[in-house]
Amino acid sequence: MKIAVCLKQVPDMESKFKIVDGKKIDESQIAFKINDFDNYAVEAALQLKEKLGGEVVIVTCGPDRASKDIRQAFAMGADWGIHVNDPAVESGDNFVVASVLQKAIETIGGVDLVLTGVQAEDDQAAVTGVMLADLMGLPHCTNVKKLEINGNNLTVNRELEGGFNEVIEMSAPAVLSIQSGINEPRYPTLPGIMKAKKKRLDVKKGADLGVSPKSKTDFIKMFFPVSEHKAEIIQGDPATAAAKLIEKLKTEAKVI
Amino acid sequence: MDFSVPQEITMMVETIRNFVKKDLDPISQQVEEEDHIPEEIVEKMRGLGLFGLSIPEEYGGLGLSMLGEVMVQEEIAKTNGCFRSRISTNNGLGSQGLILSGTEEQKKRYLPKIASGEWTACFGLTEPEAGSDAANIQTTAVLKGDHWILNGTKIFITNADCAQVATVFALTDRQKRAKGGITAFLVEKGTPGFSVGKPEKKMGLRGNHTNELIFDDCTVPKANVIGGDAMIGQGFRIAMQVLDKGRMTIAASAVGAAQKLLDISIEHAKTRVQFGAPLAKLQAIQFMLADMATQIYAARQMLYHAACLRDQRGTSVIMEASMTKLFCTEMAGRVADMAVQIFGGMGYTKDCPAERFYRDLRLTRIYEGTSEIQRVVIARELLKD
Ligand SMILES: Cc1cc2nc3c(=O)[nH]c(=O)nc-3n(C[C@H](O)[C@H](O)[C@H](O)COP(=O)(O)OP(=O)(O)OC[C@H]3O[C@@H](n4cnc5c(N)ncnc54)[C@H](O)[C@@H]3O)c2cc1C
Repeated sequence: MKIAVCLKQVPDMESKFKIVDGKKIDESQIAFKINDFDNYAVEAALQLKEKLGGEVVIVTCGPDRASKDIRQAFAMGADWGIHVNDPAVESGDNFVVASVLQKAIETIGGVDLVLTGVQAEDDQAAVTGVMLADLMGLPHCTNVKKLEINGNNLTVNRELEGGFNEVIEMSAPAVLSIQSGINEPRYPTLPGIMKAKKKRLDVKKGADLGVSPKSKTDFIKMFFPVSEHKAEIIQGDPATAAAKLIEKLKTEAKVI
Repeated sequence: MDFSVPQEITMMVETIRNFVKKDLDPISQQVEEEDHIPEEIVEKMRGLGLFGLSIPEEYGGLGLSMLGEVMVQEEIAKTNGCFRSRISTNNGLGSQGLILSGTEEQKKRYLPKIASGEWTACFGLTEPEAGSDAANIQTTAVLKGDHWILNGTKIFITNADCAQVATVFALTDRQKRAKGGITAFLVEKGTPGFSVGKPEKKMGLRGNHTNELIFDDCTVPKANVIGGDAMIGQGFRIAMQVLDKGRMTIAASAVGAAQKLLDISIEHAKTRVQFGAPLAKLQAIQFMLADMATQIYAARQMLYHAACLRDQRGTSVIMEASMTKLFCTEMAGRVADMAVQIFGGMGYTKDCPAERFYRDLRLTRIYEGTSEIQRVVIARELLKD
């Protein structure tokens, strides 16, 4: 089974975020890591490979620094990868990224399964996997919490709001967006990290793949919303305080 | 000097950071109370490759550069010190004699097992009469046929209780002592006449033990002299070379622990409110934080610099290694003291990690050469003709 895993490098969410010119994040204070959801996708792919044989290919759009996290996936056990390192792609929106991923995956050839994370921790768009499936003309399932494969038949548990699962059957090739908690991602071991150095990583530009998609959206600005502190502490003995609270809920908040 | 760090080292440090956060920190307090590291955690450490950091790749280790090794050791020191101590002897004292002076056959026999962590290796030099004055050991080895007969006792031996093989130093010539009279042996667990004593009740490093090694007419095969017959009498030199390297990793552990203490002190100073404001608003606290950060910065530069020097020059960084151990461990002692102060009463209780670091770090100024001995070494190098 040949599996492509789309992997994005994102800031560690514990970093300090500073916005420069309302346009971008100051990266000097930021540590980068694998998008958590993608880490589950890598683990899911590795478990399938261990069971069924085949190969796991990592596909990433990102700047130079992203190579570190492609190699983290190599250290976990992925076989090789494609790194689209192109400022034009970098400045594009999710549609641009999905289009580039589609072309990159095409060059691998014979891919049975494409796994993505449900969303990226940073932009939380949760659309790249869906767009990719559409562009590839493949069936797709989001929020995958469990995955079983029998020949070309996939049995997939999809997580719904409130923790419910629905079970879906579909057939490969397909694109699946993996939900966190589907497995327990392994650590990249230290010997694995040494081996990862030597694994094949093809670096490409959009032009190498024959794509120059245009964004479907325009980015305007980013900002921290100002939080409004509207808490009020009502003083007094319980009976008067309760009366006052009801009064306020009726007249001011108008909720009762 | 260029400290550009290879990508694989950054990745390793990141792996360790996650491991500390997800697996070690959560059980740190439990390990402290039970004075024992659960076997499944040791197994995870083996799986990650932590026992073979310094062991050459051809023998199944990672063959890290000194800079790589100190960075990894620094990261794993940011939690309960017993975890680092558990892997320390395989990477340092317990394997380095073999790596530096062992025969090919000895390396092939022991190093792969040590690198994987299947076997733990320890190092027995110290004795009741021989601490700082290591040349004053009393343990003897006498050749009888195909075996050396060892008699004597080693004390304070880290990981003795879990070790399958020990590097042991014994007198083969009473007159010559350090100058050709001390020999290094590999003694395996189960060797007739070899036993391990009870653990010491230590101030800190709970979860990791130091015990006696007892030799009572212990029969060690001739083939177990480190480096073979040619190295009979060369043991003291081996011991000093091994310790020279160990100094760098102890310094690394001190820097890592100090950084962790700074991190938790900052967090505490920002959240603990007194006189209507966080402690961090008080200049007295700010100055302590500034001093801690400045000293850590200086120590880390020194550590990385000395590590790079060692990578460039091979083993001859005796003075720099001693300076680094001296400065980094004394620095960490001051930082731990300030951290306890910032935490106030809480810093004096077992629920606060600062209390544990304060005790654990005290050891770094004592073992693998006390601070005074480091000064002796530095001065000797300075005054050499
Ligand atoms: C937890 C722990 C783990 C250890 N692990 C190991 C191990 O795995 N293997 C091993 O072989 N040993 C180990 N040791 C032993 C350790 O290396 C010695 O304790 C250390 O070298 C100091 O020796 P000592 O305890 O005999 O102190 P002493 O040598 O008696 O020193 C006492 C004091 O006198 C000072 N002093 C001594 N000589 C001089 C001098 N010439 N000039 C100035 N000051 C001097 C010392 O600095 C110190 O302050 C361990 C010790 C501990 C506590």
